[in-house]
Amino acid sequence: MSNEIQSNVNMWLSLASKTNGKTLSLFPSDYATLNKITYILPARTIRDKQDRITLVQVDKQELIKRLKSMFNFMTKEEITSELKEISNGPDSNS
Amino acid sequence: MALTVTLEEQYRDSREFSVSRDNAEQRFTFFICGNFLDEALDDPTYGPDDDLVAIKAAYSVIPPLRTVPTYAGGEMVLALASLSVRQIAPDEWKIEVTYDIPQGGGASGGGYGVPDDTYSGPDAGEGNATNFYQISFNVSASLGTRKQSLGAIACQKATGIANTTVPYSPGQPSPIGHTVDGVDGADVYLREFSFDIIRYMPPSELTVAYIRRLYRMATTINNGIFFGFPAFSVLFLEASASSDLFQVVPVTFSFKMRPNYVLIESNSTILQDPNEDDPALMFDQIGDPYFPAATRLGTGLPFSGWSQLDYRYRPAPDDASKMYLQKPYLRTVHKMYEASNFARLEI
Repeated sequence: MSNEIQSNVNMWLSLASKTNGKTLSLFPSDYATLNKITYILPARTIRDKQDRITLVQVDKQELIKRLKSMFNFMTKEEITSELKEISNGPDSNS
Repeated sequence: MALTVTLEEQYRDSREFSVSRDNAEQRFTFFICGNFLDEALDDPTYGPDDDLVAIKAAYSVIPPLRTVPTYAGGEMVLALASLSVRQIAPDEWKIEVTYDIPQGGGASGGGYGVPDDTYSGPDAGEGNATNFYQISFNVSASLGTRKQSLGAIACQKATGIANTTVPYSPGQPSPIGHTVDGVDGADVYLREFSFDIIRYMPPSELTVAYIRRLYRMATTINNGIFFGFPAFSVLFLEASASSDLFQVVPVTFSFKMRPNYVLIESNSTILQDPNEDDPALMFDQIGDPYFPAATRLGTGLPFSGWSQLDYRYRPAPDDASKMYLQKPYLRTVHKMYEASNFARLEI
């Protein structure tokens, strides 16, 4: 996977984790861009009087979960825990 | 009563876009309607704080970024730069929002327009592109020489020799490959553990000063706990990246880890409990019956996993077995790497 895509994913992850609230608001064109990386259903759409979509809101936790699992991103705590598990050699009693 | 909010974009006046040599900017105008007064706290002196309710509602619906086309045919992402809220009616507020290129030519948001810290929530200030990492690792084994076994399994003299007493009892660590000059040892596979951490850095943080620091820290070991590993067990090997003006830069840091150890006066070697989570207790206990127990001088702490254990042998008579054998008479633990503060890596 190219570094560019990975940094894109990282940008979305950082964005989702640092925005207040349960949802992340996006313009429809940005929602379309996000869907090229991972498909996620809108949690809510905000429409104008002509019933055109003005904004799309996606569930933040769901987005984080999807991106993290698809591209194997981790937080510092998760890396620490995984590295410990890998490195803690064989059982001393074996 | 729960707050219900509707949003309407202003016809015609919204979406004004301007681009210049140094910046691109787009303005939006929305009207947000809701029962803000119902949710407001009514202060007897200052009145209801429905303005704060409206601002919070605005935060919850305004997108943090906006992607726009560039003249050259590509796309750039603008970040939320300003947000102003003005009351029109008790239940209606006008919101004006501006998106532009983040300060530093896109650096602060990694060029993708991640919003400025002002709008980034309680964690703001750490850098927007540094929350998530990727790791890769490799557990492997390489051939090394072990001059002293973990323990003799059987030791016998040839048939016909009157004195059947042998110098090594079962379970006793013993030198391997005796020669007239010393001990040759034997090849064994030794475990190796290496891992890479990929950190995504905003381009503005990848400065020459930072790169110089990485160079100075390469081939040093950690002087404090690092990703859960105890001090002096992780060796920083290298870091590599290719900088980019307009996007977050993946920087790959490479490390190797070796477990710390203490030397105990015993036939048995005790490996660290795999379930041990306390870095202070993460070390192996290497059994060596020929020398007194030893820890790092003056500290009582384990030796670094990267310190070298070195034995010197010399021939000496063994009274019980009536043999002349290579016996360890000097044990030295060598320091091989300097330590540094891995917090300076800013991973």
